[in-house]
Amino acid sequence: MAEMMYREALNMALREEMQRDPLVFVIGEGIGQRGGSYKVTDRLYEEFGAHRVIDMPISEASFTGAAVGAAIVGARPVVEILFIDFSMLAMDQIVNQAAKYNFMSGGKGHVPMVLRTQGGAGNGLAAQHSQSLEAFFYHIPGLKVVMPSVPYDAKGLLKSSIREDSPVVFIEHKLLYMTKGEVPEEEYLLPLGKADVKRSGNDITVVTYSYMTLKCLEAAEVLEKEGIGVEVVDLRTLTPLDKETILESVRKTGRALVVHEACKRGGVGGDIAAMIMEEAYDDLDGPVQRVAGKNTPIPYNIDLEKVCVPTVEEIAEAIIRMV
Amino acid sequence: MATRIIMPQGGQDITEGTVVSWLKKEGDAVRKDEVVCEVETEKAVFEVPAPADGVLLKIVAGEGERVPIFSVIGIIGEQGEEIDLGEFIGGERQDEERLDIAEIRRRVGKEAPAGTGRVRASGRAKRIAAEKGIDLSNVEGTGPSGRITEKDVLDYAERSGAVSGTGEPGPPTREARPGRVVPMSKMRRVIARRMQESKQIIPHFYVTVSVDMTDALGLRDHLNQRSEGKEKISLNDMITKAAALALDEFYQVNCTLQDGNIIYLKDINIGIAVALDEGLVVPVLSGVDRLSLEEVARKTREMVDLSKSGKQASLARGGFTITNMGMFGVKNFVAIINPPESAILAVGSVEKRIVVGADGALRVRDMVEMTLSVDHRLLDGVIAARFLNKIKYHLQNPKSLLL
Repeated sequence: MAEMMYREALNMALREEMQRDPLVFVIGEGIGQRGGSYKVTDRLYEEFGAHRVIDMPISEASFTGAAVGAAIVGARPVVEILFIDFSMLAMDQIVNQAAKYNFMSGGKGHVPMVLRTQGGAGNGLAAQHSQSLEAFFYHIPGLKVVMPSVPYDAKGLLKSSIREDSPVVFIEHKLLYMTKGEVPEEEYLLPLGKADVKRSGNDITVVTYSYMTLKCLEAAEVLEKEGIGVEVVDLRTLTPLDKETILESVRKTGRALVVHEACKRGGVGGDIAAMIMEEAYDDLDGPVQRVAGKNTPIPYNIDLEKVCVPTVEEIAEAIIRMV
Repeated sequence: MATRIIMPQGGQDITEGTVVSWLKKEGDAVRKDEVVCEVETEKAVFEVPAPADGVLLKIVAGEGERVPIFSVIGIIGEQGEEIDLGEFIGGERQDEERLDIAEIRRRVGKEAPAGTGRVRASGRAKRIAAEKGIDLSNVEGTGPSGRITEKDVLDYAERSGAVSGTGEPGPPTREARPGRVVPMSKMRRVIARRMQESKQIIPHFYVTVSVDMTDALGLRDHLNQRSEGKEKISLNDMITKAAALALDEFYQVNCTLQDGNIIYLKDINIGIAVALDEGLVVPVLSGVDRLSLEEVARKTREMVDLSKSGKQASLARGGFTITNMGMFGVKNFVAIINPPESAILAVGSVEKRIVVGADGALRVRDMVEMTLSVDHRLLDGVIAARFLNKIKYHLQNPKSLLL
């Protein structure tokens, strides 16, 4: 086991997959000699050259479309979109082309591409560079959505995403890149659609993903001293959703709280809460609750930004109310 | 008041920066907006101005060190100021670790976690049951997998004569008459299910004693003559009080069985079986050991009145029940334990009998027979006999009930 940063784990995953399969290539802005804005594609250019590490002009629609075409004819492109906010420019390519191609070709055609991007608030980057837009992709049949919270999961899931024969939207978080965690030396893969119980407890289930997992774990640690056992289920992938792990935990604890950074309205949390109500109503001691971002654009001001996304205190308070 | 010097972002997709050089040493005086160090990000080299007047107290990130943007690289304060570095460098995480849980609890209005008793009932059913004071464990659920629904609670309330929430009269109950087939009422079904469970699961054994009630009757009449406007005390109240005193001494009897654990109850709560036209309910009198005889009498009467008007009289969990058929002219009877309790005391009618005293003399005394039914999983014969004899002692020395 080596300790490494989240971005280094992603870099390893890309390097290993590019070494393993010559059809894997990366494409995006500033990912070549510059090594990527977040250093995820660091030193890939030197190793694999300009035809597999392709720097593009600023036009998300065109290079995402190019990647969809390349995937259709058999390559395995990994697109990097600098901010999830900019993926809106490529929505037609992702939603109307990549997600539909397998269905509309009667299962004959495949789009084995990964769209890597990052989202979330926390760096004072203002409203157009801080959104959490996973619900857009979660809503679309034909897309898989992956949102890992720790380096170990990030590496194992990115490798599986690259080997996946359908389009995967792989969403990182800007506050996670510098976080550290244990990653094994040897090769490993993690299956898509499998949640991970990051902490077990008997009193309440907290369903979360991405950066909020860390906040929920912090709240859980504080509440343990209060005699409240919090089980933290890190979804890791939103599509496919690991219903079994969620329900198994809820059946044990009888209470469920869903936490995500994206604003509450129309968020993934509403869908998960409804699923729990449908499938485990009689195991619940009370209604499923949600802690989520405010229904507002993210402010540039750092102090205002902090109160627009869930804090550890808010999560702890919601748990205390429920238990 | 110390101030942080922060690694600037210097570009919108930048996540970290490197300190190139410090232009000031620790201990140097600095003026607000004076350049204190240079940092480099991928995009450019930036000069970092001092955020306040003061002294450079501490260089946190030395030259050549790479740190995330917005992290603390230095601290400015007053000469000689003591600072807590951990608090200063940690930023958000440190702030969050100092969560004031007590304050959150006050805000939420919950001082301690609630218990985790689960009844399979809809939220709506739970709310209505709480409004009407109905104990859901007496209600039979007809919903999916036996879930208690709103309708089940309303039916139960109506059958037990509680005021219906809608204010509309429900359908008339079908009377029992010879030759008629009548579906079981909800209450009958609950009684049937619970009594059947009790007899099937609990290994009962029985202990009977005869108690000389002559002195107790004398004391009762004496107390009731002098009680102007006070609650009249019945023999049953005296038996309840005697049982509470015995339970206080033999705490092992005051228990219930749950999931393989014996739960010894803290409070002495005694259920009193009350016959209704529809069936039977057992309101529970709580903390009987702390009540005077007169309070026992008053509270019991209130509970029985409530039960007879179909209201839930009490939500306390009992460990022990008394059922009295004294008014129906029975010498003795044997009762079925009310799960999950450990025992039930069945009291027969007081009869005048000729008793042979210890001195061999024959006397006419007021005698009653009491039979204790006991869950043999929890208790054995010896303790049952000693416990029952303690009740007998208190009734034969009734002044002990006044202490």
